[in-house]
Amino acid sequence: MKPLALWSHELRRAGPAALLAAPILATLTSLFAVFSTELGTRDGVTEWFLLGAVEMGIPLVAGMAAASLLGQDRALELQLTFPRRYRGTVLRRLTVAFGAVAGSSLICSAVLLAAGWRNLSPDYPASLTGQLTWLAPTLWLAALGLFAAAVLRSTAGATTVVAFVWGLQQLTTAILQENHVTRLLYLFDTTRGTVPEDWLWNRFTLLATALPLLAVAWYLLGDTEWVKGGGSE
Amino acid sequence: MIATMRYEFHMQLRSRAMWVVYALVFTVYVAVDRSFFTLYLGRGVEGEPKTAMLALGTMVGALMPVAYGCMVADRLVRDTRLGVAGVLDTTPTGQGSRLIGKYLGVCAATAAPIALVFFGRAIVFAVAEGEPTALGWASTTFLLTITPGLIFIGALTLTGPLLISPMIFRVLFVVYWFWGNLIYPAMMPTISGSIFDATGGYMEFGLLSPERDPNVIPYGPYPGAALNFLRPVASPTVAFLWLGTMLALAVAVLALARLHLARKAT
Repeated sequence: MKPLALWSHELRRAGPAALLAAPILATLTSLFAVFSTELGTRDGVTEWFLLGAVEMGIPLVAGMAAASLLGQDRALELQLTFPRRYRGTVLRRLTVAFGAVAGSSLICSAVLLAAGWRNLSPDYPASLTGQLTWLAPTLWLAALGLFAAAVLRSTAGATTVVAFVWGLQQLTTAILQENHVTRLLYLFDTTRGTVPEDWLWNRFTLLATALPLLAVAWYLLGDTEWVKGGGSE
Repeated sequence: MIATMRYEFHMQLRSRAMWVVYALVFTVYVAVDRSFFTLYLGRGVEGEPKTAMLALGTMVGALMPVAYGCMVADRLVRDTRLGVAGVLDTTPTGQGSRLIGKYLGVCAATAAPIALVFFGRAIVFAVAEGEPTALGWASTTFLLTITPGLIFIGALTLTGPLLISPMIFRVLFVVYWFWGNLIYPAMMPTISGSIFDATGGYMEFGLLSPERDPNVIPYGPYPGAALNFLRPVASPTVAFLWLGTMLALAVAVLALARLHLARKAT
């Protein structure tokens, strides 16, 4: 297969769930933001919805999608015998899913800038550097998802890890913000962070720590025996 | 039904991934929230086993159901994915009994690590404080505040992926868990803190620990929150109403799933 054909195959293979989840989430949040005051939302919260979707919702989708990438190939044994390495296929699939997420995030960021809602957090950069708002947590959770899927070889297990880490960071914001190290690894620093000076460091730490996770996943997925040992779950 | 239940229970209980994931998430949880290592979890009057056990219930019940729900989510649709659903349909066991058996078996097995952590911690407390009554309070707390929520969440997450892809369902479930159970009710319209909240607030403040500080507003209506009509003031009656609501929701969800499966089969 030509490279282009491989990509178009993965695009179709990713399925509507992985491709449409982030755009639908963004649209729904925008709609909710528009009507939320009528529904009884507290003042000042409405503007945070879209920013919250960009920094919290979309990364969750990306992480869950990445965690669900493995274990859906029907004839895995056959694939593992091909000259094209399986990990290349997985990476293409991840890129496709990530592309859909990144596209929706960019559109949301543009809407935020246009609506002036970004000004709510004047301490944080908005335009180009501001894209790290979604890029860092999205990449980190996606890396965690793929890493967990590769290590555990279980979609249920990997998605649980992503969901739990996301939930834990939401629930224990106060504790995580007290300590310098955990503050650097906090995913929602734009919306719920307390030390604006650390923001850029936080974003770079997230990007930097995502790389080893991806590297371990890449290594494990290159090991045919390991991939095969996981069974179909 | 019993056979399905036993089989599903053992299959899930022997799943290594489940134990590894629970161990992992729980280690991370207590590493971050270290109040787990203090006997009274930073709450309540010292020397009061009931308060300590209720605090433990709140902590375990706040986040562990996220792991529980995500883990239950693929169990039913897995039959279709592996291509065994058709084969199972040909067996004399009816679809309904298989659904109920699977539900009971999977939920019991997936809740087992949560119970292990909860009761393990309760035993440590009982030994350290020399308070055997703590174990009684632990059982009551687990049975009345955590279990009803797990019964409903189990039905929801087992059958939810019948309608949408498991990946999307898990995302929605995590979002639902925060929106519907954990956020402050005044923040936005939510069922958090209401009779539909799956964490056992009503049981705790209505039945088990009604004596609250008079300076604190009673559990129930939240000042400035929308949908306050769903949040009656906590009392023993409301606590049982909540229990009934959770059970009724679980039955309703399972009944709808049964109808859905029957329609798909024809």
